[in-house]
Amino acid sequence: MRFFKITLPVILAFVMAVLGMAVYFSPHHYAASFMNEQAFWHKIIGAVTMFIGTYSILRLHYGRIRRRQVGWGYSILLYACCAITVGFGIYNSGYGPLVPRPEIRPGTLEGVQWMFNAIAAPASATTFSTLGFFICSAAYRTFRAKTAEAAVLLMAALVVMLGQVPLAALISEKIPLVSGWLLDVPNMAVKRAIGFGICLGAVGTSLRVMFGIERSYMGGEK
Amino acid sequence: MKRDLSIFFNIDRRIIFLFVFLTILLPMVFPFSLPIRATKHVRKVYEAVDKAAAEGRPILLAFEFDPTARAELEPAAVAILRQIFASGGKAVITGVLTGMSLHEQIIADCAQEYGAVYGRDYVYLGYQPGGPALIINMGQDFVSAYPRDAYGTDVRTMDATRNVLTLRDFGYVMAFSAGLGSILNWINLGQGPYSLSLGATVTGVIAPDLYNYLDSGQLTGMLGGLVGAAQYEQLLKENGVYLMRRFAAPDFVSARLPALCRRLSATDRTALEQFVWNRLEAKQQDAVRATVELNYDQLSRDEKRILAAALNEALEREDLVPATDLERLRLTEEIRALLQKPGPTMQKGRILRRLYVEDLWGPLVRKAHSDAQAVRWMTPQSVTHLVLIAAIVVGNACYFADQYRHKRGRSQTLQREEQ
Repeated sequence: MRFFKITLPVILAFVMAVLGMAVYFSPHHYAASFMNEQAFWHKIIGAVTMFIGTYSILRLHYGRIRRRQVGWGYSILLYACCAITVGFGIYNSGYGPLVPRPEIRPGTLEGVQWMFNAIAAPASATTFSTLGFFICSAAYRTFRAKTAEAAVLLMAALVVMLGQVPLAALISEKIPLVSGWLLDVPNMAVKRAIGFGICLGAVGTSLRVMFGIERSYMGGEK
Repeated sequence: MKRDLSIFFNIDRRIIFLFVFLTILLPMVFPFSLPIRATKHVRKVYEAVDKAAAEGRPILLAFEFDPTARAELEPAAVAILRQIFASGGKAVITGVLTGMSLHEQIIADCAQEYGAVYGRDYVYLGYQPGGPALIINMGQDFVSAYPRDAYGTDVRTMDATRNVLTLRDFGYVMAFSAGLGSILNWINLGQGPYSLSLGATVTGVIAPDLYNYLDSGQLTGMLGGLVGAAQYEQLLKENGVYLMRRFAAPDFVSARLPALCRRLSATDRTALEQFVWNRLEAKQQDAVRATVELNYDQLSRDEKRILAAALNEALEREDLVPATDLERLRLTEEIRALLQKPGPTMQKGRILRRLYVEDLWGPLVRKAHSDAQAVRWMTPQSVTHLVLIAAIVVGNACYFADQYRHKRGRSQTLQREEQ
C-alpha cells in the first residue's frame, strides 16, 4: 500500500519533471508532440479541478449551514444561486425555463448570459471598485514616516504617485522625469533582485519535489 | 490645539470615503482637459502595432480580463483595436470564460467604427482551458490549440487566421491581464521559446513589477493602468486614428437619444437623414418613434448597432451631402493639419461627411475627435491622486507636530519634577 501512496507518486513526479525539462529544451519534433500532448492532458486535469473546486466550496458551506455558523444564511444563498444558475445552464441550452424554445434567437442575452451580465459582472466590478476607497483610507491613516527608511519610502512613493498625474508636468517638468527614473532604475533593480530570489527558491523547491524530499502535495508524510 | 490636531489623523473613515467620492464626482461633473504625453514604453506599443500591421502580420490580443478589471483594461483594449483596424491590420483575440460577453461587445463596437469585417480583419477565438499549457500549445501548433473560433468556424477558413501555424506567425502579441502570473506565463512560455514581440497591458498596481522585463527587452512596451491607456489614446488622437471612426452603438448616448430620434422621425429630413430612415426596418422605426414619445431610450444595443450601420452606409455615399456643405464646415487647425497628411482620398471624403453629420446633429452624438474614455477618466483620477498626496502630507505633518508637542510636554514635566 505504501508503494501506491508514497513511492509511485514520487516516481511519477520525478519522471514527469525530468521529461518536462527535457522536452522544453529539446528541438526534436517528438519533444514538440509530447509538449502538445502534455498541454491537452493539462486541459483535461484543469476541467476536472473545476468540479473538485465546486464540490469543495459546496461542502464547506454545507458544513457552515449544518453547524449554524455566523453568516450561515449567506451559505444558503450560495446554494440557491448555484442551483438557479446550474438549472438555467442545463435547461433549454442555457436560456433557462422562462423562455419558450421557439423564441430563442442566437446572440440574445437570455438565461445564464443575462444573469452574468446583469448581476455577476456589475457586482464584481463594484467589489473591485470599493478597494479604491479602502486604499485611500488606509493610505491616509497609516502612511507615517516614523523612521528614516520609511521617510525615504514615503518620499519616493509620493514622487511616483505625482509622476502618474498629468498635472505634475504643469507643476514641474522634472517630476515626471524623476518618477520615470525611480521606476526605470531603482525599482527595476530591486524587482530584478527579488525575481532572482524567487526563481532560485522555485528551483530549490522544484528539486525537492522532484527528488521526493518535499511531499506536501501528497498531504504530508505519514 | 491638541484636540484639533488629533482630529486630523483620527478622522472617521466614512468621512474619508465621502471625501474620495467627491474628488471623483466633481471632476466628472465639471470636466477639464489635462496635457497628456506618452512615455517611451507606451510609444513602443504603438510602434510595434503599427509595424505588425504594415507587414501584414496578424496581431494576437490575449484578453485575459473580466468585468472586475474592466475600468483599467477596457480603454486600452479599445484603443489598440482601433489602431489595428484603422491601419488595416488583422486582430486575433482570445478571451477568458468570465469575460467573453464583455470582449464581444468591445470587439463588435470597435469593428463597426472602422468597418472591420469578421473573418477578414479580425477573429474572436473565445476561451480555451489550459492556462500556461495553452500558451505552449499555441507555440507548437496554433490550430490544435484553437481549431475553431468562438462561434464554431474553422480557423483555417478565415483570412485573419489562415496562415497562422504557431505563435511565431504573429507580428505582435499583447497580453491584457489584471494578474502578474498571466504575464509571466507569456514571458516564460511564449516570449522566451518563440522570440515573440510581446507587450503587456496591466492594471496600475502590478505595472512596477514588469519594469525589469521592459529593461531586458522581454517586453516590447507596456500600458500600465488608466495612465497608460490615456497616453495611448493621446497618441491615436495625434495621429488621426479617431478621425477615421465611423459610428458605433456607444456614440448614441442615451441622454440625447430622444432628441436624435426626433430628428430622424421628423418630416423635414435632410437627404442623409432620409437615407438612414429608409434603411431602418419597420421594427426599428417603431422603436425610434417610441423613444420620441416616451422621451426615454427604447432602442436596444443591437438596434443602436443597426442605426450606426445605417449611418455608416450613408457616410460611404458621396451623393447624400452637397459638396458646398462640406466646404463650409468649420474645422479646427488640428483637424485641418491631420486631413492634409497624405492618405486615400475616399477616406478623407468619409471623414468630412462624418464631421458634417456631427455638425448637423450638434450635441446629439459624440464627436469622432473627442477625448476617449481613459483621457476623460484621467481627470478625476488625477484630482484624487493629488488630494491623496496632500492628505498624506498633511497627515504626516500633523503626526510629527503632535509627536513634537508630546516630547516637549514630557521634557517640561521632567524639568518641573527635578526642580
